[in-house]
Amino acid sequence: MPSLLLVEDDAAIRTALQLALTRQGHQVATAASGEEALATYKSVRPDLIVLDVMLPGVDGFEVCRQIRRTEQLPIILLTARSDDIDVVVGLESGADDYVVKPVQPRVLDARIRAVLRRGERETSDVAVYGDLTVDRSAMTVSKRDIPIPLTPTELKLVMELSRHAGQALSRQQLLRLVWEHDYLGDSRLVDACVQRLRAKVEDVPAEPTLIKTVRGVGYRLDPPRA
Amino acid sequence: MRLTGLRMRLLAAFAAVALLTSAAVTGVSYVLTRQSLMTRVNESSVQQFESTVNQYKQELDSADDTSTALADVAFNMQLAGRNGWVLYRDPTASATTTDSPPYEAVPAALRSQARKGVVAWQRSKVNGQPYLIVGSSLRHKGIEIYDFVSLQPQQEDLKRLAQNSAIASGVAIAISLALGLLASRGVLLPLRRLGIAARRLGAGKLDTRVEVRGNDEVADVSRTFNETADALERSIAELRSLEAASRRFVADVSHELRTPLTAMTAVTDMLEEATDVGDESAPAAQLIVAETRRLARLVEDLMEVSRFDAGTAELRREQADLVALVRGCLAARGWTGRVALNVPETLPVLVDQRRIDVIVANMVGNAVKHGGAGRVELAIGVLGPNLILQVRDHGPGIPSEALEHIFERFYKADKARGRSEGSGLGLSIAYENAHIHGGELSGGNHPDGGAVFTLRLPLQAPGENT
Repeated sequence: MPSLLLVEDDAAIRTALQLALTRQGHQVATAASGEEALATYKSVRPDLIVLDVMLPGVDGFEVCRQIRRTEQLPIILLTARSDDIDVVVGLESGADDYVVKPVQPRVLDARIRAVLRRGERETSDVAVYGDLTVDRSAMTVSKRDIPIPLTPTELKLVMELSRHAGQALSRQQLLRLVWEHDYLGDSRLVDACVQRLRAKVEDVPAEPTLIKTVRGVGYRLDPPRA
Repeated sequence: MRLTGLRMRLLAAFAAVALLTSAAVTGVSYVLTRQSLMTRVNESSVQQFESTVNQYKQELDSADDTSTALADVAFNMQLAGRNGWVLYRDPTASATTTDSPPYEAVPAALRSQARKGVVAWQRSKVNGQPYLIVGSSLRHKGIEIYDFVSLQPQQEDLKRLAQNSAIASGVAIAISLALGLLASRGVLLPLRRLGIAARRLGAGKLDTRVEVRGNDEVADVSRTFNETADALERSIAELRSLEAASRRFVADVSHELRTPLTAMTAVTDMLEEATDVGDESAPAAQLIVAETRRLARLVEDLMEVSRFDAGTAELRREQADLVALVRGCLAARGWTGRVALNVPETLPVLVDQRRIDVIVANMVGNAVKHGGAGRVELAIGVLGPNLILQVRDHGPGIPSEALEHIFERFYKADKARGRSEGSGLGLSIAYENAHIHGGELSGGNHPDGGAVFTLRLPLQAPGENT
């Protein structure tokens, strides 16, 4: 049973979401504030955090940033406003996905399951791109034999790019493959995740040699030319 | 320059005044001058005539042969330098002048006067030239003497006077025109400035003011203009802040409603499943579930409208395939089977996909809802610089009185129907979404029946180069 940490300051929403998610088959722990979330997530050890953005005191973005410093566990943001700036800030702080309130529990559950599936192992082989080694069976990525810590979403993104190496994948394709979003997924999820991935795997993130941007289309993983 | 303009009218008035004044002045002075000149000539000529005749009266009366005396008289008269002739006639001595105009040149009236023995005079023309003829007679002898005094010098003086007057009038008119131009500039320049300022104000630049110069009527008007602009600016600012406040209120209310709605939405699924079939509370639970969803949609739409009103709606253009987008929109809502598509294979566009989805969902949704059982047709084509997306149903169409209101918020064509499942904001949001793309959404009726909604979008996004 997947265990979740739900961080939400409004008691009614917290209770309702806990009820709904528990019913969907999740084990749900809750925190009413950012401080409480930061204090408890290490002892709870959830598989995933559902994090409200508008929290009094330490807000959702800050919680997300602090957790990301050490942990790769997936985070889904719960944003009260669909205003674009919130989404951008949220994705930059390292969230894997976001849902907009008022959220249908079924949608949230689908997103949670999609994020959790990203960590599942596949039976496949090892591919080498220059310094980078992608082991698709062990689900590890290492650079010059040093393992790189990746969030499940980043890992899944690398796996999909590696599965289609040398082939450009559009943002919408990646949204379907990695995020399992419908036809109207937010392409900024892809861009933010690629930025984070480049920061971890590229020598110079601003001048990527592995994950290339294909203008007007999307992204492509290339073995660097010798 | 306008012929009926203020400038022309002012100039015409100035010129007329100058013309009238100079005409009056020169006319009066001409008449007076002429009168005094003529009087002077008359008096001196008559005096001269009388003194000369008197001088020789004795001799003329006594002498038998008067021809010598008459010649002396004529000589003396001509000596006075009148630039004329002297005509004399002595019937007894048959002495008569030879180098003068004929006796017939003397007007008959003057002749009859002169024969009475008085000194008479008359102005007359001889050989086309003006002369003053002074004449008299020595009654007992019948001698008649006429002095023809030329009026040519006076005539020329008067002519010169008239010429000079004409020149002076011309100069006066020219000066008055120049003055008129100056004066009209003084009036028209502030007027033109006022006109420009009024146009700017009308165009919405409410901080427009004019400079108040001097203390004349134009300055008064300028001051009034500034005061009016002040008042206008104030009341518009007030209106705007009121409007902003009411919009903020709607946005705030929507925000506040969202929190309880989020909690309610989260448990609606549970409520839906928890009630057993046959349980009498099941319909109540169903009602709450349905209405909660409706309320959630309404709040979402209100927030979207607030964003458009506040100008914070953001357009995120992305490269996309419009046809795939439309197919996805229909599939996601289960409409694929109801809509006949007449679309190209693919049509790459640069749009905000979510907003286009909202527009298409609204157009097709309305057609499905109001179009009866008939099929819905969706066509996509390119017309010049625009792409056209048209959705047509085969229902009763839009009532004509509703046509101009369909994009208004909360407008319902059929008041009796009252509640529909939509929020009443759908079409107005779709309209705004088309607008933010630089396109437009229009609705009407097909000549063969059924409603037609047309979305026009520029193929080229603004600012995008070929």
